[in-house]
Amino acid sequence: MDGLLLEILTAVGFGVLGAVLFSAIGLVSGTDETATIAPVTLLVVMLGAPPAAILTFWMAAAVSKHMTHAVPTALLGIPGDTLAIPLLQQATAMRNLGAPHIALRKMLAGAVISAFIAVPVAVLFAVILAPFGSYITAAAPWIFLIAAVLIAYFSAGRWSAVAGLVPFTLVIVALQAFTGTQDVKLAVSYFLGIAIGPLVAELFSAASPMEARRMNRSEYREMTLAPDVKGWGGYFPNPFRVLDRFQTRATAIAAAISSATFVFSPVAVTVIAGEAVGARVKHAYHRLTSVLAVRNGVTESTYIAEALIPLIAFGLPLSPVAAGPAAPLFNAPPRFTVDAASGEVNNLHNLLSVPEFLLYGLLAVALASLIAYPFAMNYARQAAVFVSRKISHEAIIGTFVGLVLVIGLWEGGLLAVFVILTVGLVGGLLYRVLGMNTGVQFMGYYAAVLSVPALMRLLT
Amino acid sequence: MKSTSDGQLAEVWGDVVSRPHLGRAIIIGGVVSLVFYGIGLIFIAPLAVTPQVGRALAMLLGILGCLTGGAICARLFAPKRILSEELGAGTAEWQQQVLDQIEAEGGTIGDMADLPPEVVKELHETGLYDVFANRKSRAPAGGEA
Repeated sequence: MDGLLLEILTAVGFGVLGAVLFSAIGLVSGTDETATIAPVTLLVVMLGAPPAAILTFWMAAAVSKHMTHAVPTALLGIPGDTLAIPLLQQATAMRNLGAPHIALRKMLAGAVISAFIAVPVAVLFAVILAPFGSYITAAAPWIFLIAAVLIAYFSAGRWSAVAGLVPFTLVIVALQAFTGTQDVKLAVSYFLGIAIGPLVAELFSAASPMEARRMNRSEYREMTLAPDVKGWGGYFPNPFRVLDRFQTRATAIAAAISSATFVFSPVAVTVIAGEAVGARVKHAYHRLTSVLAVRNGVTESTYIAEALIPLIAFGLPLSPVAAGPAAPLFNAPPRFTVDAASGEVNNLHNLLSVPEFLLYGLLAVALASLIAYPFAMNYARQAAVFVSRKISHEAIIGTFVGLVLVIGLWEGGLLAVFVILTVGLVGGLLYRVLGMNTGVQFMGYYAAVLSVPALMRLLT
Repeated sequence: MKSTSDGQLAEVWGDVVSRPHLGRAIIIGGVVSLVFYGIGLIFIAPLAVTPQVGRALAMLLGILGCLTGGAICARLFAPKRILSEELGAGTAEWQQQVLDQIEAEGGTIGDMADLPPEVVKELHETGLYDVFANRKSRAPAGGEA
């Protein structure tokens, strides 16, 4: 019994850590989920945190970030991260109407309700799918190939992203073969390279005179902060009061349905859910607030379901979230591995039972709701001012440069640092030029590791 | 507003930075992290039970170095942003613009009669009731669909 208590307490500790850390990161506009959540989770895995603590940490981090990302989105009109982009139009309209605080409250309430619904629904779907798990695992190399093509096609790059998979996968295969001759086996470095690729590409571009005209600016960036309107009393506004009955129902239904669509891009699902609900509301004000509640709710439910379902049912990262921000839950060698030849997995899939996934998933959502939700409700404005006045973009970039050096040197010395730079530059440019996003590139990595060996066996 | 000590400004990775400051931030971020990681490898790692744990501890110290480097950069280099209070928002003119845009995109403004009472109450509380109510009475006169 003591062992169980200790396990739960450790999970609570890591969950609180994830919630606090990513509540703060969520406030910084433009901090992409994959670039931030994946490396930090990887660290937690590598440092030997117990399985339950790892799951709680990741989930609390993701859920918190998608709550506080509403702060810059509603108050500054700048999307907090990738999933906040579909919320921007409605948030800006509410800001111009003079009611940004309402937009913020609707988004946060939607997030809490949706997150609590998504966990049990995702676990249920996973249990339904689990019997097919062994077939899926056996066919893993081919399923990854198909998933890679599908995810690429549904990215902004469409067919060019599908075609781009070939050279990108080949680059990874070639790099692996070369580092192999030097007795350096890398995995984390590829993840980090893909995750921060857009930054690497921007830094190389900034150094090039050819790109100077595109990038140079003569003015500071202007940001306008919405005026302060005190909207509610108390520290913990009841989400069911913040939303009206229609919005609560719409958010709940959208959360349940979006939990089932775990193979699609979270951005796309968020957009579609908003459109579907918006089309049912005739009044413009009610439409704006309903779409905000539903869409932000879906940013939570897609993340939760896209991580939990593949994790519980297959142990293979078969969704854009599982291949991106949640990648270290599946694959973090040497601790967590997905074996190329046999499709055998050794990760949270084997280490946690279904009830444990449910319990720690709900624990993480509860922690995020206790930390990120009231914080964003009460201190949104002060937080937005602090971040935009005190945290320079130079400092954020400097931190990421340090991260690349430390993780690279730790995993494989200077060679690994160069691999991160190579994958980052190639991937970052493919993202910017072709719209082949980081999720597609992660699938490219898995295709290189899992599908290419199977393909070669077939061809020879 | 732009001080001359900033040097050339550029937009990198979604925000405006000063090129000389960015260069220095990269060096500071890199050097501080490496120093922390090095200290970890030399002094902390040998104390650990296994070499693997030792290296992980050194990495953790290196990560602390990243954050320290970031904090130093945040102190040294101010953000290149002008934050201003939005004065126009919430004025009648801006509110009408929002409604204009909704209509321009093919959305309906809608009828107050369709709304549940709790939403009408919310509109009164935010002071937006009249904005939407008046617009509705004007819309049919403007253009019969």
